[in-house]
Amino acid sequence: MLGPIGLTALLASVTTALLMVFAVPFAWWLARTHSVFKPILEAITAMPLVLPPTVLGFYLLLLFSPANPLGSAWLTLTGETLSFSFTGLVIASMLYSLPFAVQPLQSAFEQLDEAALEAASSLGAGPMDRLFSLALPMARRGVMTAAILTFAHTVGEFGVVLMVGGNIPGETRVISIAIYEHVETLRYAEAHQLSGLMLVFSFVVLMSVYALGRKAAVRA
Amino acid sequence: MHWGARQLCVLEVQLSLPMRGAALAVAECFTLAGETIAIFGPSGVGKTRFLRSLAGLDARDAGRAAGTIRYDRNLLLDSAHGVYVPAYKRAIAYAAQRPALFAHLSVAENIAFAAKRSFPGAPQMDDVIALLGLAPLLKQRPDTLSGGEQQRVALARAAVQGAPLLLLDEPMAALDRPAKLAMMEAIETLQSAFGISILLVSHALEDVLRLASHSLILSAGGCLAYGPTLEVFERIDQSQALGQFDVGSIFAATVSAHDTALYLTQLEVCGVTLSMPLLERIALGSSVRLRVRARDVAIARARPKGLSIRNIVPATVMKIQQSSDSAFVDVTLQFAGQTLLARMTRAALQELALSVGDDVFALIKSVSFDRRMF
Repeated sequence: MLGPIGLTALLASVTTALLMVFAVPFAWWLARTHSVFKPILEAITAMPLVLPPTVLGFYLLLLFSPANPLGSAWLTLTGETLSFSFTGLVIASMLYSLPFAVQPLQSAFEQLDEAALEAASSLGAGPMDRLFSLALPMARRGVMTAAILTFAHTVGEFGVVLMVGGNIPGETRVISIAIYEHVETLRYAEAHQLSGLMLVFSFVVLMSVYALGRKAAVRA
Repeated sequence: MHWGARQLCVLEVQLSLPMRGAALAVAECFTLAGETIAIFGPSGVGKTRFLRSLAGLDARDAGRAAGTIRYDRNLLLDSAHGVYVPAYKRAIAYAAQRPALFAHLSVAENIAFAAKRSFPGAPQMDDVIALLGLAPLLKQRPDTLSGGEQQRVALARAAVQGAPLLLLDEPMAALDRPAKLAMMEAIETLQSAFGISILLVSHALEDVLRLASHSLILSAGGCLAYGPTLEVFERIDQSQALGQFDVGSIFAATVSAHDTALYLTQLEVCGVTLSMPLLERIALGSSVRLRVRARDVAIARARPKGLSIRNIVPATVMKIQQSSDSAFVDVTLQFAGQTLLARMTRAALQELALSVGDDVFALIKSVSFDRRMF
């Protein structure tokens, strides 16, 4: 059974990997589209930045409940509920960290040299080819920033986890929940260990983001 | 073996391009036979817009072209029926005015990018690199190259893709003279090695005369003329395309002698000998294009003596053109079947009392020949 640190690392890794797969094409599309839906989708993407995590957690809890189509379909398919499960946490984390993945990518893609992309196009590179052979390598700082911020933000989440995941050891008991529990039960030594670890971790992460050149920062 | 080697291919356009003033209408059928066709005209007329619409790069532009483009029997654009083939599906290479090299890749990787996506039978990457002398640059990053080197790498990259038609947008515009000459040589080298047809946008007459067998002259709103370069520039009202300052005559001449003592080259124009500063690099007997600006031609009633001007040619006055609001008059002369424009002031015209049919002497300043146009 995974302890809080291992579980947090696993959750953040899975969330980051899955979110990047979705965020790269989505941010690429956002950066290049003139669609009327663009501002709507941008607003939805940025909502986790301003919503209290409890609001997001509350709606997810309702959605995951077997009383709802998604929750009941998942229960029929897997025999497990989405709420209070690791899978549920991954879904919640992906939504919660969405702006931290999409925004740095989008701004990095928007800053790409348009003339170079046009040259690639006339050299026979289609849209997906241009994304993988040019845009991603050229926007690699933005990609790194997005991945690091997503990972770090997932590590740091608390409210959504508490609402959706509860506190099940090895399943949903991540570091932030563990610290909360240690403090509640007055075990300050353990709380100190985990909190100190989080302090150092956050500093290292943010420093590496700034070292990457602040090229693609999150816009609140 | 190369793609479409000297194969005839037709590009038929019927386009309306929205410009700030009037829309630019182009309706022309280009026969692509491995030669260079110049798109010539003043800035702002829509030359670049026209090229981008051919390349298929105007899909996201605010005012994209309406009409049809037919290329080698494929319909690339039919705006009325919603047909728009995107750039990456067109067998047309395009090199923008600013060489858009991929900054994160080396010169070799830039060229390899095109090679990976090339058409069957495209020129070999190594051949193109050798022909354009790019081997010493292969490991460098684009930002370490000079402007001229960047242009040649962009040209190599476009050529390696192997499209039978190459669109070049002002490749020489930002270059100094040596880099410009190197670029023109590179274009000629590629063309003779691989038989690529080129549409070259330019507003420099010198480049057009040297490189282009045919020229399309654009002016505000539409095409002034299209045809063999020499004919076209004789035919058009040049002041519209060139501006008053550069109006002149163009004719073909043969190099007949080099005088290395006086540093002069003798040229024959239909039996009349002209001289110009020595063009050592041009072989005897080769044809060159000469250009004489109207403001560099003076007229005398009698053959003048004691004059520094070397080229004095007997000619006949064919036409006298005065515009109402100008101090200048354009006089069209003819010598040995060639047309020569001369510009003088109204006052000079009155004093000489010229009229059509008069026999005069045209005085051409030696320096007024444009160098190396052939």
